[in-house]
Amino acid sequence: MKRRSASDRAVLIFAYLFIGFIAVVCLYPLVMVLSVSFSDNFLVTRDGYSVIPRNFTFDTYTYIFAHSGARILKSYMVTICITIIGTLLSMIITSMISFALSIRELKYRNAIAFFCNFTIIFSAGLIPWYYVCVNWYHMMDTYGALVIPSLFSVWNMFLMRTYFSAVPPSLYESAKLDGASYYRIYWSIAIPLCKTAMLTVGLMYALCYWNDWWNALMFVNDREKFPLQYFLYNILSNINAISSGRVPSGAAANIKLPSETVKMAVTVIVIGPVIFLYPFIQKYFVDGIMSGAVKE
Amino acid sequence: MKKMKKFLVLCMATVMAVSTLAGCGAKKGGSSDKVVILYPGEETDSMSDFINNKLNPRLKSEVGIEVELIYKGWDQYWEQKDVMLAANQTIDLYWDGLPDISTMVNKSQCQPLDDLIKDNCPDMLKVIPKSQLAGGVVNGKQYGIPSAYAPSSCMFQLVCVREDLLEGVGMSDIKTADDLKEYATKVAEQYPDMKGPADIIFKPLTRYFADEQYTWCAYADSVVYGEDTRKAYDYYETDAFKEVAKFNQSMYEAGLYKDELTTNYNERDSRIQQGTYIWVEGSLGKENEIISSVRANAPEAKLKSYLLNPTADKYITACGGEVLCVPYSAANPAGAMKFLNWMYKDQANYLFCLYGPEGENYNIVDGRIELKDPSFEGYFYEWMFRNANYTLFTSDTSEDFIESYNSWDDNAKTSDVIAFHFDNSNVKEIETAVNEVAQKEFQPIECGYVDFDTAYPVALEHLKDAGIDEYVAEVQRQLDEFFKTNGYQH
Repeated sequence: MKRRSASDRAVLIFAYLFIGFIAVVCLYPLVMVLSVSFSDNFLVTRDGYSVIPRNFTFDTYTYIFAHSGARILKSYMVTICITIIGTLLSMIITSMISFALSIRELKYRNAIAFFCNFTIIFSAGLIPWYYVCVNWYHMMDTYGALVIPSLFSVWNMFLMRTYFSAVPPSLYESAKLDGASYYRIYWSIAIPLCKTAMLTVGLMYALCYWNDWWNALMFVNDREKFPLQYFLYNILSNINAISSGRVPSGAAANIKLPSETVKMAVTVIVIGPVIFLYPFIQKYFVDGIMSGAVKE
Repeated sequence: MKKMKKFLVLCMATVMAVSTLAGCGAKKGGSSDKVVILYPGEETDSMSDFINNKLNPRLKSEVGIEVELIYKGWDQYWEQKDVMLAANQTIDLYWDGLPDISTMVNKSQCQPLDDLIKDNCPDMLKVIPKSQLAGGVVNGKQYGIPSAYAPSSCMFQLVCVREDLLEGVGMSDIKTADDLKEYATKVAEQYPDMKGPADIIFKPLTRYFADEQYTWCAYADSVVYGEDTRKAYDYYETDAFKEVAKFNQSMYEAGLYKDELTTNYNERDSRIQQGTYIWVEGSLGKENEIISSVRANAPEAKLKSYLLNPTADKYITACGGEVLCVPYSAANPAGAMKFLNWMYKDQANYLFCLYGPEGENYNIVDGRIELKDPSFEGYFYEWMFRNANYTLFTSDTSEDFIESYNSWDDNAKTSDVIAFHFDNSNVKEIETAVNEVAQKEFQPIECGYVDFDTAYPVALEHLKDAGIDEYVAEVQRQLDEFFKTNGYQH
């Protein structure tokens, strides 16, 4: 094995140190959040945040689950369901339209692509969108409202189409010669060859559904249907409300402000599952981003 | 292969069917006996139980209606309200701040209520007098019901002070700006853990320094009406503003104001609740509204409100701060009025809406509300529906306060502009420009964070360039028209 020169080693050491530094910078807030969530609230208020928990305690988590445990679990269920169902439906729709648009023989494919593209640049705006969802589709207070508005992302569709377009057309032609229909080509050839794309886009959709609170804010009034993110958003948003100065003082006095430890524990509850899953699936993210970046 | 094809076809068909069926559902909110109320805050189990099992059965049997509350968290309430009303969603009644009523009328968010009130609210009219209702009149029509009717003179002109600290530093009263400064200085010396004032209290200080009552009468804080001279003024050119700015500068230079007072001005109420600040701007009863929150962090805290320059005239400047409106998209506007009329019909109904059935959460003992659980927050917001004719104080309210409350407005004058709503449609651009200068340049001056002598002339020049004179002239023109029709109040 070739021995590295001194300058190479210096660069390597510098690179590791630099990357290590960046990693610490990224990790520091996360550790702080964890630490505060396990700290004694009085000590945090008095002495501020710290990397090591101040008087380590589970009190905050006990408090949250004792007071809102059932609701949090229910919201978890809602979020998990909409994430699974939404991601599956989104993947079916997105992959099918992407595959179709990648087929050169498809008539009007440029026009269809243009229609999709147009919605990225020009949207109708909040009120018409809301009006259609509520008054035409009657999505108010339905689980559908948490899934349907995010069902199709043009951006993801174009990303996936790039993958499908990279599959050599001769593969499709040979399959056709063997009598395969487009459904079989899509299912048996295109999808297996674009597994990375499916995982990448699937993850993007899954994260989008997991993190979504906006649809719930717009369409859901029934607490039983609150997804986790919206449930927690409500807890944290009171601070913004009071800062806005529009809340009457009589009301402001009764608005419960979450303590520092509650805020951090809530953050941990939300990001926990994603943090546990991320190390296992991040390689697909990296693969996907790299593959989509180059088109030859 | 066929199975897969069938599966995909089935999936697509399901998605399309769900979407189509969603579009074919029956329209909600069409029921003639349901009253949909858009309500700020978060739904609680106890409130839901009260609405479904206690209030609605009574409303159904007595008035033939049921209420349904749509809750929107405080942070998103106004944005959601605007979107829902713009999209014609069925809302029969909603709350907002009274100062915004002309804006809501300009946006066509609320409908005139004159006939609805006449037909459905005979009982409500007995306890909300015409003078109070006048606050909801825009362009001669009743667009909202100013629902909080209570003694209100000197609104936002009081200073709510930590009385325990005042006593602790050997003081007993606050009447002047110098008293305030002395109090803050002594607290800083004796209680170094305290963070000083939570608020720059420019309205109480304006009352103290002004030669006459100045009542704010346009958007934000730029224009005031002189109650004696009967003219509109640019607030930032008044001597009172200059004195306020100089006083606050002296406070800042003495190290008595923290920087966060100007960067997070709107957080003054949450600051005082932390238990480490010594005063905040207030109105009558503020100390009772916030004392439990303050005591959660500072158990020894006592609060008391003081009026600077107490011998000067007291003015009633607003018909409460809250207004209830009925949007054009309401499916059951008459039902909304019937609900309000039922609530204000008598004290029993009023207290039922606020605290539930007597004997369950509270008892009335010697004319006071005695809560069984002191942490019980009630059902409908008291501040939203407050009515002096029905108000009963809780047993922990002091006799002194009740006495002062009951006679608070006795010698107060009614402001000439109490029912005046400035219409900004002719000067929107100027208003935006003026407001920008006010926020960027005059707020630091008002808070005392910049040197008055150097910053003020520059800011004033920018304010003139933004068109403040034209803006004040437009306010004056509308005031003249208003007085021609309505006359003066004093």
